[in-house]
Amino acid sequence: MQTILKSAPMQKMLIVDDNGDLRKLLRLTFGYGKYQILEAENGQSGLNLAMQQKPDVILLDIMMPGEIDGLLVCELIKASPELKDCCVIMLTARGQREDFEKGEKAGADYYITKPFSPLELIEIIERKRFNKD
Amino acid sequence: MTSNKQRTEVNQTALPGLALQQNPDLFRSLVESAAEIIFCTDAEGRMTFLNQAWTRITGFTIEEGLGNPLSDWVVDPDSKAFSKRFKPTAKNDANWRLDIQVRTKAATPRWLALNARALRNAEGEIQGIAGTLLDIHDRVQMEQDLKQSEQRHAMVACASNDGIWDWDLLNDKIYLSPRWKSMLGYADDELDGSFAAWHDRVHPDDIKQAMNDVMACLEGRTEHYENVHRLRHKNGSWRWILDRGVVFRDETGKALRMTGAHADVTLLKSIEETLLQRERELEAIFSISPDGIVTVTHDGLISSVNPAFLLMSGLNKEAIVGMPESQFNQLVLSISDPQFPYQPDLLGGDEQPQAVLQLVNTGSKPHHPLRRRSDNQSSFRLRKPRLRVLKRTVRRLSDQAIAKVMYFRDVSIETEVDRMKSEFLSTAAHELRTPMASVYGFSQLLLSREFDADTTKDILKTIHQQTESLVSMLNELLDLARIEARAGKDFQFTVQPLQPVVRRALAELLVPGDDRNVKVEIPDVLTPVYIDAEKIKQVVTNVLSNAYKYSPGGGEIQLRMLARIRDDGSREIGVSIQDHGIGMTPDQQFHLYERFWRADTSGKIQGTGLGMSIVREIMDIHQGEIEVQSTYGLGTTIILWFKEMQSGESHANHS
Repeated sequence: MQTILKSAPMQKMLIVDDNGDLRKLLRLTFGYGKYQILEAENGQSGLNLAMQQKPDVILLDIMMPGEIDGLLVCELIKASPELKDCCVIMLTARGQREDFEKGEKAGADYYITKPFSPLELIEIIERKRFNKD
Repeated sequence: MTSNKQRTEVNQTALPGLALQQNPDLFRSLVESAAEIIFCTDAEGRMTFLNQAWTRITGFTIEEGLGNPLSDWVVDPDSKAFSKRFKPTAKNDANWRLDIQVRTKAATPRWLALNARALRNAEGEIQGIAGTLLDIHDRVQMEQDLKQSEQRHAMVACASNDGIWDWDLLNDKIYLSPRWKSMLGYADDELDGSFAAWHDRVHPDDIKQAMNDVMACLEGRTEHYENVHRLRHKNGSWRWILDRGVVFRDETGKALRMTGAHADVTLLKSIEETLLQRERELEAIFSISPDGIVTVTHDGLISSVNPAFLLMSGLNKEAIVGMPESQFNQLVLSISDPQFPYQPDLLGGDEQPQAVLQLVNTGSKPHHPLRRRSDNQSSFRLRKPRLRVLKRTVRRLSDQAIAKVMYFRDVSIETEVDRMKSEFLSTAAHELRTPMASVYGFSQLLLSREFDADTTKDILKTIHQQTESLVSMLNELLDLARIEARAGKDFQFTVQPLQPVVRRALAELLVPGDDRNVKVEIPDVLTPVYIDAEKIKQVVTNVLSNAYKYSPGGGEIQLRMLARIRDDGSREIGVSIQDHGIGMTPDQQFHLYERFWRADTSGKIQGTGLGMSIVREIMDIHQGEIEVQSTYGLGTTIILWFKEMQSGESHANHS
């Protein structure tokens, strides 16, 4: 058990969402030992935390209070040399075609609309990790 | 007897005669200066003396005249009157008179008045004829003209349906024909011919101009008289009369008669009026129409544009009218948005109504023919003078003065409403997705994993809360939709005091986890208001629950009822609800009534963003006012103002 943990160090996951219940849902979904969970309530603090902690996975809401929305956060992360390999998953209530297009343009790896299946979300992230490794 | 008379005359002229006999030069000059021709003949009728007037009047020389009988110059010498009387006989001792036509050198005969008597010598024998010829040609001519004109008039009067009038100006008598009278509903014997018979029946609005025209003709300023005026019919109605006349004058220019005819033009006039009215109506519709109208002639030229089109396009009328249609289309295309262009050729340019009908008839599916009408319509967006969405409809007209009508309707507002509706739907869907994500996600986690009792309970609590939030959001959406659709028609308005309604809202208010009590100040007596109690209770509840929710840090919540008198004297009752919570910035206040807008975006304060939208809708239907005083970080006061019911004031029209 110890050796496995050492050979596969805990991944860092950043959850950026202004809705407390949503953050709780994601925390419970991924908080079973594999991930170190980081949380932010808005775009600015999410961006700061990402720069600081360099997470492997970011679950990013789009519409949040403050100057910086999720799309801009994604764009800035993908533009940063240190963070561009980080997997950004947009999790949003905006489900129209032009919203997808905007997410794609911002460089998001996945664009998932709410409500979503937590189990499917785990699978997507695991598959992504496996492919990368 | 005759010789006595003769002598008397001689005696009377004895003195001048003596003078004349003594002075033949004076005698000669008198004869030569006379205006009439003086002549003498011998017994055979040949002329033996002629004065200078002969040459002046006939154009022939005296030598040409002398020695020839007068009958050689008379146009009709065989006429009984002339041939019988112009003889040197005793019968003609007295002066006799006859109007004769005499040939002249200029070929046109002239009318002369012949005065003649037999001429006797000193012995009393008849020697010949002496006499004068006075030129009366102009007078005779005028009399004949008048006679002819009268005959023409009589003919016209009989042949036409005109009413004739004839005004004898010297004797101020007027003849009115039977038709003149019957035109106004009178029998011939019911109306006397007088100036007043006409004058007093002319419409007051027309008399001035009619009299002006009559006078202008009488005074010779106009050649003919013509005026259209209304005359009162016996039955009291007005008949439109076309009145025309001419004036006859003597040689000095003095007006002798004025004669004319009445034609009844009432029917013409009413058709003319109807047409004019019609034209005015069309013109009014054309010019006040909010929709743009452009017409095209059969030659493919723009024939007219209305003000609405000029306003919506910002184009210049002078530039467009007369322009070929293709050029017009280019012009409109040039100011339209390339993203959403004007497409005159694809749609409406050469549509074939016949072909459309065939399409409908042979189509396998039964179409309603009207639906094909949309083929003639196209929408486009104008960039200039400002962004507008216009819908163009083209109608082709056959056998009309214009070939085509293009009809432009500004559908910017409809398009905007459509856009807002779809935006509202997508926002609503978005708002429903968030609580749904919790319900869906947490329930899946519960089904697939084992959690300890505390976590399980927390998850269930979250699911319950979010479900509750979904339900209230649905209810409020439906409330809003209903209020909007019915516009207050299902509201139960009654006159009642406001206090009990506010008290019920206070009593039923349930704020879980908050034990604060509202500090209430409600006077016992207030003028009643005209409201739907249930709806106003909802308004008070929404504002009160906002006061609780948006003062999470505590602080007193106050509800006061007050009265005020406005500047216009109207009286109002207010419900003021004050909190000491997070407050709003001016920018936030601007969004207060926006659907789904929330002052708190952290998700810590529950809500749908629809509460104040509902408050606004209900207050609008009550014609009430919402006053907002808010300072960011210090709190908010909302005052709901209601109009007081004045005693005796009717409220039936409010319902």
